[in-house]
Amino acid sequence: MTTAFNKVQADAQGPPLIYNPPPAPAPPQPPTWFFSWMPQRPNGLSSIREIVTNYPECNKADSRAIDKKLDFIVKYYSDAQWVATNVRNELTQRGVSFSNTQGLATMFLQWGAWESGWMESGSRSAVQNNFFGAQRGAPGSVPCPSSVGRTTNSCFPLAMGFAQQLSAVLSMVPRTRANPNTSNLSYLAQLENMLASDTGASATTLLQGIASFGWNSVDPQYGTTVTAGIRLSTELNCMKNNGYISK
Amino acid sequence: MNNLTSRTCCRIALLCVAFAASGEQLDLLTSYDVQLIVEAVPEVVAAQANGKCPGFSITRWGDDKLWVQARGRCFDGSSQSTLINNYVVDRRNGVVFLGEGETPLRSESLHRRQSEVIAAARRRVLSNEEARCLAKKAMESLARVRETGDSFELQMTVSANEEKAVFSGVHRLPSVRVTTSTTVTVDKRTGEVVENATGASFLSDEFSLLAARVLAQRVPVILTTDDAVEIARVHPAFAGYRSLKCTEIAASTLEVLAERRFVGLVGHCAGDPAHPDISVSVDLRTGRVLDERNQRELTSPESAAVASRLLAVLHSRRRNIQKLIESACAAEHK
Repeated sequence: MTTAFNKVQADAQGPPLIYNPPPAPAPPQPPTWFFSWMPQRPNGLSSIREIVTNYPECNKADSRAIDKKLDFIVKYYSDAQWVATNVRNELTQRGVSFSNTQGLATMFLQWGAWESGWMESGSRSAVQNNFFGAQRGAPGSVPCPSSVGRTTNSCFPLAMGFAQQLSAVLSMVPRTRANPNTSNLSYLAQLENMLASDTGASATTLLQGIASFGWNSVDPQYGTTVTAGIRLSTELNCMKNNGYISK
Repeated sequence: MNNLTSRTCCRIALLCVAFAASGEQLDLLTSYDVQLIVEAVPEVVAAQANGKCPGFSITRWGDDKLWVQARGRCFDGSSQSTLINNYVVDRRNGVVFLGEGETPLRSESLHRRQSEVIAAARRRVLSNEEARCLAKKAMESLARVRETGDSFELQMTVSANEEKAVFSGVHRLPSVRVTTSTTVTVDKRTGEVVENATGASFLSDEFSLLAARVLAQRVPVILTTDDAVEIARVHPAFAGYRSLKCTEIAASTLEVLAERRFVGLVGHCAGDPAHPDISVSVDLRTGRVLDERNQRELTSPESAAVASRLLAVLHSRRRNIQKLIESACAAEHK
């Protein structure tokens, strides 16, 4: 069976990567009372500054950190959802009924935010356009420019976004000391197997499964650390309720 | 003053203006401080000991925190991602969290490092003597009329606290029998000097140059990334790299340790042709060239000579700045 993920993997080994981008996120629609809104300045600041938030309903304290999270959600949630929907469709083909695509999309967002450090402009991940910390030779990657210095990380072309990289990473077949993976299972197959055996598996469990399978074989706390270290639920709900992203 | 010195002075003055304008506190932990703290996190220490070659990428997290991503630079095949962890460090107290986690990381060695770094940051706050010196220079630059024999007398009007010192100054012009007075406040945590009557910051060339020098003394005495490349470039490990096609030496600040820069060979042509996998780290405080994996020194007389020359320049520059400050402030004590 040819799937979107198999295609990414096959293309990466030979012909150029062909990618159907997910639908672009809906542009933010500020409510009508937007201009009458005035955020509270954080306590303890001695100097004034411009209001930074683009999402006043979801960032009432006008925090730069919260805004960074909201930006990340707006930019990549639909990508994460697109991949989650693909996973659901493949599970359906296997006869598994899985409906929590929103939970899976949230997990993908958390994973990308954690591995890329929120893909903050000017960071190592942003310069390498590397969302998931993939190492040299990852499908779709290109040689890094010398300006990034010597690195073992992959660099991806700018045209390769969150969904495409996530698909590429999931299509990879790990071979680590802890997991020689003689059955040649991809991360995607491992993820689907976990969901097939427990459709209610938590993000912590799924991320730990991916980590132990090879993505981070040395950290037995990876799943817990990622889900505790990247908190998105409040912001995601607010952004959905205010129409910044689709429900 | 020659052109080079003049240009340097202008640059320092501009830096100072930018610094003062940003209102950045001297005792707020810098990226450098934060890296020193994260280097003491037990799992980062372990990663260093296990040859994973941790390197940091640092970004802002809100107004007073930094997000530090630690990733191994030496791929050992044990994992497909080399992420060690993400840390959020509070620049006001050095407390470290795992990402947005709520429980601070604790260990004896981490606590020790936090205390050392915070103590060093506190020492960056201006002393009362430095505040007085800046206040006097500011008042002198405010006085439009100067003549031989005029004098400035300063008094601290209230006892200074750790944040501010207020000075009352009198300018006497004896030949015309004129006396003017003004009051200024020095923010000891930013180096900013404000005239109380107007609330405006002092930004004259003369004042800004002195302020820049005072602030420059707070910057750690370490080599730059360019210095690190100069030192590594003459090391025998990199001998003959110029004859290799599509190969160059590269160092980047995208991935650093507080006092280390990584210098390696990279390919720069399409197709990334094979090149020797050479990478070293250079200690920015000593100029020593180290094996990135095991931190052993890769001794080289050529590199040591370059390091010695660059460090001598660095220390000499620092001593000169100190002398200039002392000279500017010495008149104050007369």
